[in-house]
Amino acid sequence: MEYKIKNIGDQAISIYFENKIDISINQSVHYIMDHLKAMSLVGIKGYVPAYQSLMIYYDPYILKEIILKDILTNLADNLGPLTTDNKLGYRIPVLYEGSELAYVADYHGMPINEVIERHTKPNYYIYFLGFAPGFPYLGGLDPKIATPRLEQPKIKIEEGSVGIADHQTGIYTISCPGGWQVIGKTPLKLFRENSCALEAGKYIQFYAIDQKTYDMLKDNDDGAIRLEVLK
Amino acid sequence: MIQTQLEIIKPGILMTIQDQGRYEGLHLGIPQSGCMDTYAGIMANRLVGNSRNTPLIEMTFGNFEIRFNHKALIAVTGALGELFINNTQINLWESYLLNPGDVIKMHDCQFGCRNYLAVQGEWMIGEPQYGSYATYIRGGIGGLNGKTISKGQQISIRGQVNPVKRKVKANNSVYFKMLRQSHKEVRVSLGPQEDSFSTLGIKHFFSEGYQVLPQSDRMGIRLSGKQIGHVKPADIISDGIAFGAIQVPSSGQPIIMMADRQTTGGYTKIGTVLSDDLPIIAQAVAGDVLHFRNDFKTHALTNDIANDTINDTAKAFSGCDDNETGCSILETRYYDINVNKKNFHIMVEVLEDSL
Repeated sequence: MEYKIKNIGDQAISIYFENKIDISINQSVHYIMDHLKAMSLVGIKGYVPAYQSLMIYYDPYILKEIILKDILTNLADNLGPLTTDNKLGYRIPVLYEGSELAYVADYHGMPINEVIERHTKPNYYIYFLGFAPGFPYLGGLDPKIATPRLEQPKIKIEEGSVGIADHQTGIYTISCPGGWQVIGKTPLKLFRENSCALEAGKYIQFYAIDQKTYDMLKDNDDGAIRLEVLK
Repeated sequence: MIQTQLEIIKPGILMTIQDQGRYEGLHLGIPQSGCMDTYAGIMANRLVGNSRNTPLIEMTFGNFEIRFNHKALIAVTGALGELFINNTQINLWESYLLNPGDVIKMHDCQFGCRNYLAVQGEWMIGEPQYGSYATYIRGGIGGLNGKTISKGQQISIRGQVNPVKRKVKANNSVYFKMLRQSHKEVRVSLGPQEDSFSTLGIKHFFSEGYQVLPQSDRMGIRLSGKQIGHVKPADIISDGIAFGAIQVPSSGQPIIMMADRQTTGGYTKIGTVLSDDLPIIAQAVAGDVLHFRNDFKTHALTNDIANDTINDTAKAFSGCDDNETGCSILETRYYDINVNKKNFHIMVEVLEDSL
């Protein structure tokens, strides 16, 4: 796989793979991060994996730049077998509702039920967590329900909102401003004080629930989401 | 064991608990947060004998007032302004031993905009989150229940048995000179999307001045100046955003990403501010003009020889972080030296004992 290693100022180094959104490229990013973590190199402060890049924050007082680059090169030149399509992931319950759900349906000239069907069918790959704590960047949205962002972003999108923005879909893990079309909400609290429920490299499958189930799950939420093999 | 307690009488515009930042949660999308001016934060802790990552309080635009209910060893660093213990004016960048009931108070910042209050001892503020006490307000993480510090709030700190009264002074002529200038030079390392910009765009970036806009905050410093043109789209496949990364969206106006920035983003970045110059950005106020300089020099720290020199110095100072010795830092000096035909820019702290 082709790659480039770049200095990011004097406090980080990034490795960039080919400039596209692709699962196997992303799995290489996670492979390198996982291996670096396993090495427990003294002097590495943190990691930011993204679609096709990995940024590594390090302390140049402790770990020399040339050594880190050497290790990175070695890993990138010797990528191991990447994950197969054994789809390990999370099932996320969603109460599909709201005016934007109707808007999305209308925009595509299809009934609301079809939007829900198309949204719950795929197994979405989690490329990485970013933008907000625990916020998953998902791939695999059915292009037939891809919908442009809101013209005017909202000052606040509630935590738990499930939305669509162009070809992306995702879940707001904290309340914050945003321009996504919110088509439903999940009762699960995916980001907590000291833990993040979702892990990059896994998959997500949404399934529809009713208000009663939503209320029950919300009351009984202990934050635990099981990892299972998705069909 | 002394238990000191401070009480906020006036928090000013934005007062939060910070430390040197949160790195353990970056891969989960949790921003770094922490001190905007990491240098002033480190020095505040050093002045009171705390280890460098001890939590402290960051204040914005001065106008704070804090009462101490017990004896305490404190120091306030950062922006220059009038600082008082009760009605007596004192110096910033110097440590003081307070008596029970003493109130420290600061008026407006005269030069710069952020201050750091370090108090000797262990801060009793619960457990760190994802390895840090830094406050990330939007996510409700860290600090005091993930919130800003408000009027009336009390914070307990467990001090030493006999806090050694250390009258130490840090005389940072370079830093103070920088605070006083409204035109500031900022060293930048180019990239990672440097080839997305036109040659003329890059030329503008390194020759024009960019003015700091009032809509700047802990997330980013917004700038206005000559448009930086693109030759490739300003929207990219999201990648990581470093502390001091300079984003340039299609508007051509740069934004310097700071402590509370999102971990990843989809705009082209022309360069990254060198970490030594980040305090310049942290203390910039609306109206200041930044002049970016392309820094080809490899950071001194990445070279073998420099590494050893500075590591030894750092070890000497870590003696300061323990309790006994009165370690007085009299002065910080900067030198340009040449070793084996290579140039280095080094910082030296002159200790009292050495004179």
